[in-house]
Amino acid sequence: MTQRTGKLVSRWTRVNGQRWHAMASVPPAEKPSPVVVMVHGIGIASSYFVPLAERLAPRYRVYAIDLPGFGQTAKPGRPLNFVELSDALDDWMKASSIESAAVIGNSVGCQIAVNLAVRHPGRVRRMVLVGPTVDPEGRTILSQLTRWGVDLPREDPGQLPMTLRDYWRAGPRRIVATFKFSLEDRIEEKLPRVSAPTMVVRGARDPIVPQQWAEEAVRLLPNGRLIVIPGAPHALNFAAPLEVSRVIRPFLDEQPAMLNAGGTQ
Amino acid sequence: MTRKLRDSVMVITGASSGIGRATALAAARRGSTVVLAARREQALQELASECQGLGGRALAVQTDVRNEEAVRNLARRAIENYGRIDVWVNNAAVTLFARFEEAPPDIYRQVFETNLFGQIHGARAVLPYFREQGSGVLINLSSVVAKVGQPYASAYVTTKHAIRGFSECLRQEVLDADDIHVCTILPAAIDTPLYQQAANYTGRAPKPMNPVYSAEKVAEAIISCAEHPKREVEVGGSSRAIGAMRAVAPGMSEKAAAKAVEKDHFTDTVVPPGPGNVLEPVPEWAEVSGGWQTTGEMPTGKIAAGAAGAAAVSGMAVAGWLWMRNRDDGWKKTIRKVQRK
Repeated sequence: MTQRTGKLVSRWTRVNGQRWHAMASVPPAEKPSPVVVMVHGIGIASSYFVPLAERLAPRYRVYAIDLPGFGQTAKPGRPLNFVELSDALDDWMKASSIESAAVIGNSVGCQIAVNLAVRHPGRVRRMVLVGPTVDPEGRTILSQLTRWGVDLPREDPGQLPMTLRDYWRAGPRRIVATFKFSLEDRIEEKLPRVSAPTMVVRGARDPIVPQQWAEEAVRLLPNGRLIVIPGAPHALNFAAPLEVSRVIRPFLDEQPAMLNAGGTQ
Repeated sequence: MTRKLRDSVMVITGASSGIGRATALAAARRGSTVVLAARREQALQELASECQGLGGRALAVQTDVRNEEAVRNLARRAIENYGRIDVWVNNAAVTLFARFEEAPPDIYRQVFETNLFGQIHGARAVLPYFREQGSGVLINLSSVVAKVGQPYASAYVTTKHAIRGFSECLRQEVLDADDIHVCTILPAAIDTPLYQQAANYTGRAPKPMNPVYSAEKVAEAIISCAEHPKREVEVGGSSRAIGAMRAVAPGMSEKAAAKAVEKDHFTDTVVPPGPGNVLEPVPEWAEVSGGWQTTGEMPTGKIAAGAAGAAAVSGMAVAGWLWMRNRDDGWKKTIRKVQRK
């Protein structure tokens, strides 16, 4: 029952002439494994997905990506909106020979995952929305910043150094622009068009994603379910990786055949 | 460091009535997430709604703890729903009232299946998760009768002795993990429907022996262990007194216990023999209380418990004096021997 943890290495892919960075699991030697792609939130990058990725690595081919402009992936001339980011992710999957994957998002990464699932449905076999934003009831700059301020002391302090480094890499202009894009992107209008089975995972102490909104999101999804992790904050993938891996593994394994990526067969 | 109750996931077996039900409600009141296990599905569902109403998250998983696969499934369901188990309360128990020679062997064995193997199944299911987390509190319900014997209840008493020993062994085996704890609860006579649900071949209806304490008092002890784990916790003043008496004058206390059981453990109501809930659950009595008077919490009960304690202490003093006197005699004899030479 004890989970082994796998090893992750930096992997570089050239997509439309731009270098993309992802933390990728060292693939299991033999049989092809299901592919899992992890999409980060605002400002941060693949780094804070590593604890969860390591726990999934022994069983899946895991990629925690840096979106264009964030982490170590090349920076486009201007900040990309969420439609553009999801199209870029589609391009990266194509370039990486990943036909389809289980996509796991955190925070605004969920919005990018949902855009990908709606615009390129073939790419998303299953989806896990960990703390999906933006709650329509709090869609103002003030409300979001207040909630973020309440959440911050509840997060694992170990996340702080990598957050600062990733914020530095992304730069204030891109962070502010992406934040504005997140408020413009209405996830509640897109959730009903997601055909992939989707699990919403919420931290019970996440002020950014209130219980009511998480329940509403699941109601809007044609095939959705909700899991609440007691005591956990917004960035569950870093603060509670063991718990998240335990609740999503049975979900990821429900139809293992469906998860196999074309590129590996 | 254990987690705050509000952030904890607590699995409780035998949750449909008595101490289990009281514990579930007490935990839910503090915002805990509770996973409720028992054989009675409907009682569990009602309790789950009640816990949710009190502000806790709750999941009902119908479980017969005699079935190891069912207990493994219980742990798995908790993990798949909440990602973690912080506290596991091995509480489910049944009892049988019968003289040993008159007890039906199959009923006798089933008491062990539920009380002892139920807890063994629980420990086996949850410890790997505790190890993986590096934390967790296993709380095993034993009894004051883990320290003393009783006529008419040898199956129950033996399982409770075994649970105490089992818990002590586990406690030593998890010494290598800083934040994994095993606690043993030793309640005195408690007001629960255990007596109404018991298998009974004595011809008389059983009742708890005075002084009787409330199930809520045991629930508080369990909650307290969940927050601040302790090795063993006795609930009810009479428990300590009985232990002290036993230590001071074992022979006398055995005879006293036998006499007390004859006098105070049964009512005059004549009842037909039957297996109670030992083989299959009975639909009635899905409640915390069995409707017994909680005499232990009344002033007179406290006085009685205090008097028992005082008797134990004075007994100890008398025994000590006697022992010293004998030893003195010994010395005198030795001295005399030496003098003769």
